[in-house]
Amino acid sequence: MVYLIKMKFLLVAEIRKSLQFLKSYPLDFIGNSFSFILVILAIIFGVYKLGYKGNVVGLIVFPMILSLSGTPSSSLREDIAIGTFEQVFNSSYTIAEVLLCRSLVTFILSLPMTFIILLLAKTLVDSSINLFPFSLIILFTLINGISVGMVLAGLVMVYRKVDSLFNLIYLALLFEFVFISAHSLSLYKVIITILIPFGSILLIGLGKNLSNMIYLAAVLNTSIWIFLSYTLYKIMYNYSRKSGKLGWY
Amino acid sequence: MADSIVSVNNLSKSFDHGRVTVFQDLSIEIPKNKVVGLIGPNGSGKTTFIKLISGMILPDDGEIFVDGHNILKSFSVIKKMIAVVSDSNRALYWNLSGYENIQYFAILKGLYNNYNKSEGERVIEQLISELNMENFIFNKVNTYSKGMRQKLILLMALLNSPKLLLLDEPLNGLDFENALIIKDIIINLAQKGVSIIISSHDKYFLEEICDLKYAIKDKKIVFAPRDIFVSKKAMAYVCLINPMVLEQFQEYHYEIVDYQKNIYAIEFGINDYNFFNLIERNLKNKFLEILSIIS
Repeated sequence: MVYLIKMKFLLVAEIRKSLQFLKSYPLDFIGNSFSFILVILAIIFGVYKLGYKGNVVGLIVFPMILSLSGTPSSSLREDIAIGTFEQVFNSSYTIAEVLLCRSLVTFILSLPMTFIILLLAKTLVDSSINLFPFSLIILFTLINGISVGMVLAGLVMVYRKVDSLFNLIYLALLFEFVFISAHSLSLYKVIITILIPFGSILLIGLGKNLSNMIYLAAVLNTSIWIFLSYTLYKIMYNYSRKSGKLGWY
Repeated sequence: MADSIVSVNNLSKSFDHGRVTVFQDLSIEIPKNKVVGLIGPNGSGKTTFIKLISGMILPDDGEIFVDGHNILKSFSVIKKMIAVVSDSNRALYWNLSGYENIQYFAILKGLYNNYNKSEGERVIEQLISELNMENFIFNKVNTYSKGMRQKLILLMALLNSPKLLLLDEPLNGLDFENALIIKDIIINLAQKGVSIIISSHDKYFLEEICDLKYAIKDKKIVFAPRDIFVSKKAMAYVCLINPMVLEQFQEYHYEIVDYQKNIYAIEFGINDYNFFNLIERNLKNKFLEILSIIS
């Protein structure tokens, strides 16, 4: 309980800081949101025309996926670049706790955009998008997004300048969401999907054809990525402290 | 170890896969409630030592204890009792106001875990008042001078009432007046019983403010030879009084000339911190005493 109260303080601080930043740079936020909405809608149209209806739901949360996966690493890089990292490191919270809270703030701030995309997709593309698996997808997006984000944050601690690698990862994610059709799943495809990041979202994107096996596979996929994230982050965090690279830019 | 705020046993640290060794088998006890200076040229390992104590860098070998707690085993406890102040050009969110920065870091430093909201705010207000920051605290940090930023960073370091304050080059880039203000704050903190470790390449500043001075030499930390600094200054002062004495101290010629330059600079209205040290530190009597011995 004491821990939850402590984390609530941190979450409030991060929300307040994000809102203060939004106040300072409002056009940046509005511009980013608009461009994301337009690009994603265009991709959804294309995917729908190709007949990959199962991928539409996953694509609706794609901006959220990018934001969540990018937040821990980008906020870490920003802190290192402007020099606040040492202050954050020497706080009463761990770096992981701070990054986790920042991801939650990103999640909260990206919810309105996701619902706008959902609304437009339902109106313009597919009115049959089911809200139940969609809310489940949001939950899986949050958990998987933070998991992948923490791995990327670990990479920033060790390798610092990783922009090109991250661009490649984001492209791979887009490729995954556009071209791996969740419309029909063979056993082979399910196994692959369990292993890849955000596979749970592709699986639940099946919508009406959800079975217990699909749910189990989605939970398995998420568990694998939570475990991977925890392990890899810890290894990279300790390595960066040992090698003296933590906080270097 | 009981009287030590920092205790280091057989510490070794190297970088670049062992190619650059900074510390080798270093053992040192730093006493509590003292202002301790760590002097050394750029790249000698001062910042590395600060980062090792703050846990940002892990040692290759050896142990570090802060107030009796092992840094590897009780890191979360140690984090609550130390504060680090480094480069004031960084370490702040520039597009937030000073107060917004304080609010954010107050939560991060756990101020509200120890106090309720109104008590926490009272602590902040008190610190703002003690550091005379009322006039600019609500302005954006990007409008602050370097001295204002350094004060703000010091204030934020004090939010968790640290037992140990680590200052890495706290006077870097500060002008004469701001250096004095920061110096007074440090002295004030020391009087309140905060243990302070200052790393700096400014030996005059350290000499003025520190109870103990250490230097990094041969991958170890050793006591800095205080007397040499004093006598060089004393000789510089002596030489100013009587340039004939200069001839007797040829081996210190360059240092003496350097001090003389500082002293002459003041005649042309240049505010020079080193010169200020020379006369404001009440060393004049010491100089005169040495002068009487020499003569």
